[in-house]
Amino acid sequence: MVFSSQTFLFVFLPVLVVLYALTPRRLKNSLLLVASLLFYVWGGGWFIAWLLASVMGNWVLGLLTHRARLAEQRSAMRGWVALTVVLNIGLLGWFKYANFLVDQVSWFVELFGRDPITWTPILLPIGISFFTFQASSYVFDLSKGEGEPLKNPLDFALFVCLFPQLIAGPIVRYRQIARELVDREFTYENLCAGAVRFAHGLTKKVVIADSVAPIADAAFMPGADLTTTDAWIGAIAYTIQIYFDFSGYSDMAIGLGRMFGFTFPENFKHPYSSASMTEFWRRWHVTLSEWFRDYVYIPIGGSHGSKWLTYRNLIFVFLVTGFWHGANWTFVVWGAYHGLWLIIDRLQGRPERPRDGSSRSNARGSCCSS
Amino acid sequence: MIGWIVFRAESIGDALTYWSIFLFGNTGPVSVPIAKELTLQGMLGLVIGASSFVVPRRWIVGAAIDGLHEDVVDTRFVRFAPILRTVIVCVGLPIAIVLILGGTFSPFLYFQF
Repeated sequence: MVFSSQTFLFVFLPVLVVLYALTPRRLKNSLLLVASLLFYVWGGGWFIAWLLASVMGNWVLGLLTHRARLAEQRSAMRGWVALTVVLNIGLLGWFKYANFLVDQVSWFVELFGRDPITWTPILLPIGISFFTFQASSYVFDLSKGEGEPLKNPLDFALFVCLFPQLIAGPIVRYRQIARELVDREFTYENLCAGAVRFAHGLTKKVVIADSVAPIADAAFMPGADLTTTDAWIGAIAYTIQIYFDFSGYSDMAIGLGRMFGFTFPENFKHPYSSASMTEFWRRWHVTLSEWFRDYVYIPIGGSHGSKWLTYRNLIFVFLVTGFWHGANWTFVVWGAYHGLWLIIDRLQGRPERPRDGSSRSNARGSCCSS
Repeated sequence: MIGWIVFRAESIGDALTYWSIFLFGNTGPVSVPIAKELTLQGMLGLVIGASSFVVPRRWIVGAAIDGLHEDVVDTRFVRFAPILRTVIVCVGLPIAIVLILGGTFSPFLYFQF
């Protein structure tokens, strides 16, 4: 189900709000969980089995990691964290990258006159890139002693499956909503503020992003006979579309979360006003940048080694970020392009913060600045 | 925009072709397939959307609308936040609903990831 569909706007959401308001506090989580699973099944069908397997696996691993940590069994804890990485990357790798890998191997063997590999393409479960990252971050944070594990698997299932952020983020960290998972208020003020935020996002998506989408689609159609003017118009249209589409979605997710008493992190902070690529990555898809900073960039050394090691780490993390977006060389090139710009920023000694001091809330580091 | 071109392209070859036209192509007028999509709605989308990177950063009002006052550069906009929210609810939302009812619905780009 999609936020901007008639089914969601005129049936699912109003019915859920009314039911949620009428439901006793102790049953509100159960209602939200059932609604979230229904929301997923609507578009994802039987892929919900993988979502639930991910939920159960990460919940159990969270408990085991926490127990090992309390018992100061460091090697056991590392083992559980490693298993978390293997299972989550394995799940993501199988569904998202197996087709790509087979294509590459087929292409290679065809160079030597062999027949390509016969393969039935694997379908991608919707939202898998987001829910695997969110679920695994729970275990990683527990291993660092950040937060207490959720004893009730239904609460953990709600944390991962909560429908506003299930499909495309923001990638919410456990500590950010840990308290609200067990104790939150459903108030008229939150309902209204959340609804306005949702309306803002819906307007960005439908009125702006969808209006320019046909222009971008026409320009990027393979084989299109373009002039330079067309190419510029198409590139501008896509630049607008991707921002208003994705930030609109994030606004809707944040607004829906607020309606039900959750405070999700901001995902976009007017990124196109950035003065450098470093600043752009503090403002664009913030929750993903922070995920990669905390679980990839810092563990491989961050910026604590020599400047060459820092550059290597930057390129690596942006290649991975690019590949996360999709199994296509275009995303790898896109990631490398951004990584190179971040290195250029560092070589030029670009300020860590905007010169006009405009973004106090963005002053904390990202993988671009830590 | 250079980055978004390769992000949007179907293949590296398509991206290279697009880049070459974007940077060194023939400077002709807008071609028919693109002109066909430059409707009033599309043009308005381009103009409003372009405000996200054309207007000075101090004038950005999105954060004010969302009540993120700490992120608003020019605090004068905070005073207008309730008016801006009213405009969103009374103008933006109805237009969005009319468009949805009209069937101009498309899935979110990030669903593919």
